[in-house]
Amino acid sequence: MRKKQKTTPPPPYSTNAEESDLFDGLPDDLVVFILCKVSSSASSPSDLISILFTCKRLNRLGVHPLVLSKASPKALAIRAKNWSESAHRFLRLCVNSGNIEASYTLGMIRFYCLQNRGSGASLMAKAAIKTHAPALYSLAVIQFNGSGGSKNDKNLKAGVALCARAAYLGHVDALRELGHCLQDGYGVRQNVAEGRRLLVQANTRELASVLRARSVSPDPGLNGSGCGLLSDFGCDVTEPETHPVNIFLKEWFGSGCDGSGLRMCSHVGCGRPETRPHEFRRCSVCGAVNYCSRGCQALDWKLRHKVECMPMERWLEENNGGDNGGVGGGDGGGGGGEEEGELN
Amino acid sequence: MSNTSENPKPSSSSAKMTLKTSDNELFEVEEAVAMKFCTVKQYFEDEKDSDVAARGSTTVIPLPNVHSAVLATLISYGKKLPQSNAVADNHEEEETKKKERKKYEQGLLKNLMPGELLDLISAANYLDFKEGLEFFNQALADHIQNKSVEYVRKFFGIKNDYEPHEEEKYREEYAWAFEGVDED
Repeated sequence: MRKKQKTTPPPPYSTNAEESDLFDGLPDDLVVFILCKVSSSASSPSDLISILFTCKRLNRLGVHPLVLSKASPKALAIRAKNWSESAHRFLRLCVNSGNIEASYTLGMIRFYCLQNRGSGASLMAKAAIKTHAPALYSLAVIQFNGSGGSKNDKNLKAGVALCARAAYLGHVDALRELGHCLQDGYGVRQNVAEGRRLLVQANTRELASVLRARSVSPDPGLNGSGCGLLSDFGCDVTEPETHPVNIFLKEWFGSGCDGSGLRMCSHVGCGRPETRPHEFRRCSVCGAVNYCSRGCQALDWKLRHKVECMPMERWLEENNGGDNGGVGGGDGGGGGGEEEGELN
Repeated sequence: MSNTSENPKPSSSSAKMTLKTSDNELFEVEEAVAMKFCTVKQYFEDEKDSDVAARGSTTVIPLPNVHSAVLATLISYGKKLPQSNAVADNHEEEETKKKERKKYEQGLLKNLMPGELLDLISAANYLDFKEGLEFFNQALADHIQNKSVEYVRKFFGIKNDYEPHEEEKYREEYAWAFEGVDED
């Protein structure tokens, strides 16, 4: 249905003087179509927002539900330091237009940053129902930890179920989490072989996505220098890209220590904070780092913690001149860091 | 843009149709390609219903809203698309065809003026040429991505109908979105 249509066709290949007629010659639905493309391929919020005050017509059409519903995750990647009521309103507008990425993003922000647990969880659930894998996984983490409630609110079975649905969609963190749950019999009947299989699958998927990203951008240094991912197997691969909302959480909670003594997940790509004291698990070897989930723990082990993890006792001994040598501490790869299955 | 009106050939394996543009130029196009323009397809099917004897090569389909240069580009793009009735190629052939198409697309977009792009979009919309519309709209979106407001205005030839104080208000309100936008 055309809302507006000019009867005279636009002059072909107009000169500059007539360009203003050209834009007016496009019917509304065509402009909306173009704006949908802009929003779905936007690489930052400004791509979409700058449309909104170009002129009144684009302002009206730019907030058309169809355009907002197609906004890409990157278009919604608000920086924590820029958070404002206006940003909040914009995300709400996107949520109302049916954008599940916005539902997930706003859900995470409300749950963790604004401490509005109920609203945050229900927004995430809205995305999860539409099979948004990160939302399913985040809800699983909340269930495993009983976040927003007490220790008794932990629901391991629910966590596993949500994890399984995310894993089925190929979500790497969920695959990893589920793999560990199966290996340990946590919230689900123990099945070491199946767990191992899932861990291998997680690794493979991660490798595949990194390779795919690499083939698109030939610059090897794009995501920073190669890190410990898969370094166990001699592969030097860069870190997977984090979701914008994890970056938001990370920035929001700053250095990770606020007055209330609540810690943050030590995995760099996570950003989740505790919602009550001692909610997260810590590395049993050194006790210096904490994680919201096994998945984060395993990933951080490979990326970073493996080299720096040192048992508390050993550290004390060495500082005392090593008079008690050889006591304590797990061997490399055991203890806090979980080992992944080998790639075949 | 070169005019690619084809020379009339004796009836070959694929039927041809003639399209007439707003400046009275005639274009002979293969049926397979012309059928991608759904407006043409609709017209052709209506014609077929009303007069069984009339075949594509004798019917001239008028396109009063499309200029010849624009139609030439749309036709040449349509030809590069995988044909729906083509025999399935093996994987290698498909890959080479894809690469060719990408190179062609890049060459096409490189020298395109904003006015030309908007004309192409308008024409593709009129002809209901879905693949063309997708492609050119995406090209437009890619072009204005990460550009400042002034650039977008100049590109589209948009007149800013905001009062200075209104615009200032918007800029303040949406300041949270702006970081690292390049000027033209």
